[in-house]
Amino acid sequence: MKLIYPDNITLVDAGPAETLAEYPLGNLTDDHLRRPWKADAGAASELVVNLASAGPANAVALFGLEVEQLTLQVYSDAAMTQLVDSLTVSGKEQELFGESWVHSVWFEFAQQSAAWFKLTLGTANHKTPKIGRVTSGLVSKYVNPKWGYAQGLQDYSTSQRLRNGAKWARAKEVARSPKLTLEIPLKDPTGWDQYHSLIELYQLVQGATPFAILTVEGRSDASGNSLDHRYAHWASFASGSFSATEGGHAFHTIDFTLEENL
Amino acid sequence: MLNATLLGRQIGHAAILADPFAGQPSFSVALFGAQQAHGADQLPGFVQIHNLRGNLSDGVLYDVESALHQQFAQNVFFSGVLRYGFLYITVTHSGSQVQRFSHEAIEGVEHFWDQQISSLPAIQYETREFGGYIKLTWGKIGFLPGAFKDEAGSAIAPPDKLHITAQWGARDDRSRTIFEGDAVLRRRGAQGAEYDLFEPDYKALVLSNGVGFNSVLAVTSLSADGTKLLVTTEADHGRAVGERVLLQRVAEGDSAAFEGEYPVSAVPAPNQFEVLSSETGTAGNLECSAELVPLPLVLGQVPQVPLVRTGKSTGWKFYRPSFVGTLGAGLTVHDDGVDVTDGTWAPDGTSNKYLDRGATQVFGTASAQGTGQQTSLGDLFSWGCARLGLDLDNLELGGAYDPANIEVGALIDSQMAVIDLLDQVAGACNYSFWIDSLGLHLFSNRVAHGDAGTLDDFELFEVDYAFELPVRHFKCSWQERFAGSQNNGAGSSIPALKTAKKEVVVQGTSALGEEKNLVAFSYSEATNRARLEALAAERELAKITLKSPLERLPVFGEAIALTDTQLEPAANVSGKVRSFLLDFGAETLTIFAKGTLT
Repeated sequence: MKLIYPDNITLVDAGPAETLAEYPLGNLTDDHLRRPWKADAGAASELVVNLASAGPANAVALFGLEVEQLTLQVYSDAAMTQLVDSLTVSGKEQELFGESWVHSVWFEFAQQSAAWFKLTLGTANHKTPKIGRVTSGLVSKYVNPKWGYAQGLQDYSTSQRLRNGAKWARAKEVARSPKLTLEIPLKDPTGWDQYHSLIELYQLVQGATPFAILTVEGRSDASGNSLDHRYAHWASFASGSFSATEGGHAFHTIDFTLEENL
Repeated sequence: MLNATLLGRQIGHAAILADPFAGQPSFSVALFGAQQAHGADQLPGFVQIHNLRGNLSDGVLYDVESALHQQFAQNVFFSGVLRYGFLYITVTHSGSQVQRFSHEAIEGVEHFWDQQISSLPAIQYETREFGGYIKLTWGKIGFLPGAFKDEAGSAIAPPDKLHITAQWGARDDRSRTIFEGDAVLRRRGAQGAEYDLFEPDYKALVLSNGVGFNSVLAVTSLSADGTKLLVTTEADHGRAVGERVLLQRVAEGDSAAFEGEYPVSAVPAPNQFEVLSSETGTAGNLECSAELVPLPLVLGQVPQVPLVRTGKSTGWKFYRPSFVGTLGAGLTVHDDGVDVTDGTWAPDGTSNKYLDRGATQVFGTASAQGTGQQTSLGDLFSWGCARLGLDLDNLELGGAYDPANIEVGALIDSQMAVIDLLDQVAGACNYSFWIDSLGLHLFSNRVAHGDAGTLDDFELFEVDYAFELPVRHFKCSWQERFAGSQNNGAGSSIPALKTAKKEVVVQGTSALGEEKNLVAFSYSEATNRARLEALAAERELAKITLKSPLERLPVFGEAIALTDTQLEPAANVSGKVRSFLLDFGAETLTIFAKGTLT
């Protein structure tokens, strides 16, 4: 498990001219995924969004994406001449039930005291690219959660019974809400730091402030493709869900539930 | 066509009219069921389809075919959930700052609607028992902390007052306005801000004011500088700042410049006052009030309307009632019931202000007979809408119940709000009206406007039928003045203006229950009887309450029907929508209709 905190992402300009007035670039630093940045590319086949990490960073994560193709370049200078690393991803993937958006990207790079990001968004076909949130900072690494954790989907849809007993439902938002248990081995030399840093994190963010978290690292599909985008969440701790138990023999145990910050 | 599952299908039938998997860039969805009978402007018009797979785009809005009866697509299918409507709330504050909110984040066709509403009560349309003004009430609306921002996007404290427009529909560019009014801050805390919502307040009053008799002061001079008038009176006027004064011409032929009612803005001297006015004309002979009196409004034909005297005690000057015609031609003047329409009155015209007899004495009670400017329900609503600044939408125009053919007769001599008068008269005539951004919509309760079709149990959560307590009889009474006589104390009969009480009673179907007293807005016994019979029939209809999913906005007067097989025995139910309740939280629509079970 990994997380990015604190968030050092910052805007460097007002964004591309194609930005829609009611979806300003500032929405990329707004904590709600449903308050996105959005543009209408018009005739342009790509748009460029520039961002920066005002503090040290070795990772950047993007959430709430609806972009047909994304190239992410990391620079160590504001003039963007010193390329550190780059990544290109397709914005859609094929699922069992059809094609869907790749909603998140998690990308790590060599640590920089500050970093500048150039996002090149392909807009040849999908003319209204959208990004919910971008975050950047230093990655903290933890043990993966104990297997058997519940993915947890908080479905805000409503349903009632019709007069004939049939179900009537109203589709609304569904927030991902995984329920995790970390068992941090006492023998692990970093175990104590993992245990206490998570407690400290909870005290800092409580149930209010969201952060980027990769609940399980290192998972791949049958073809060897990373599943990081499936396990990346922009989420906060669910209120009252955090419980840390100091282990006596084998593990420290931390239980918590996340709540996607729609 | 493929045979697939229609998830969340709760709307009768939905049909895709083109094969969505054949690669068409777009497709249409046809709706069958309760929606089919609505005009295009009554339908939300569009549905939003979520969670679509295949070649379709999630959340894209697809047009609903207007030809809703195309039956070729049956047993159709797509996997997705139909979404008929969203709530769009436009808030204007701090002058011209506009923000758009909803209780869920909506990326609309035109705007982004931010998820900043924390609580939202149901909108309730309420009507009186027999019709009248279908009034909207909406309780409190809550906003999340930090919801309000200035032009720079910085959070500001919740403004004291908001102007709010609420719309509903599947697309924000084709939504229907359901509320427009103001909201006043009532509570603020860590959880956000709470506002009370108010509809526009229609303050216009029915009666204009005149100057009370013998409380008149001549205006000896008047100077106007384009912003204010300085008025000097023949004697001390006794008015204070803030009190209202009325300036009027002394004689019919004098200049009407500066006539009007004003609040006093300053009192430079006991015999002087100032009022704010940009008028700069030439002042004629003017007089002003020390006392204001309301001038009656005459609707239709009213026997013997008492005249309101004005001016000084040396003259016999009366305000002319708003009659059509002229003296001797549709208008007669009476003294204690005796026709005194003679040559001693000043020449008269319909637009005249006074009936002036100069120094010729009127001995008893002065009255006039004639016909008011508004003789029908249609006339009254045209006049009322003009006073309220609203466009009149007469839904019965040219029909059997055209309000132009509904006679009204009344003497309104007590001040009231125009909206209340319209409410009372419409109710007495078994008409209803509602007001929205398009104007005032007037219709007869006896005519169906739109047809929701035959509802089935797929479209309903609950149905309830209630019945009013029986009414023993319906009664209305009114008073009429007439030319009569009385004893002069010496055994002789002298003319006198007398008053007679008249009454019409219509028996209810039951000898049980209460007595229902109603206000008469006619001096015709036959008309009042017919109205009572219509109201009695209205009262005896069943009150039908239909709770259903909020998938459309109903129309007032719309016909509804269903066959209720859950009753024992089953009943055919039909009725017309009288009012409804929109609950956006539970996404339910509760319709209140009047109708019959057979």
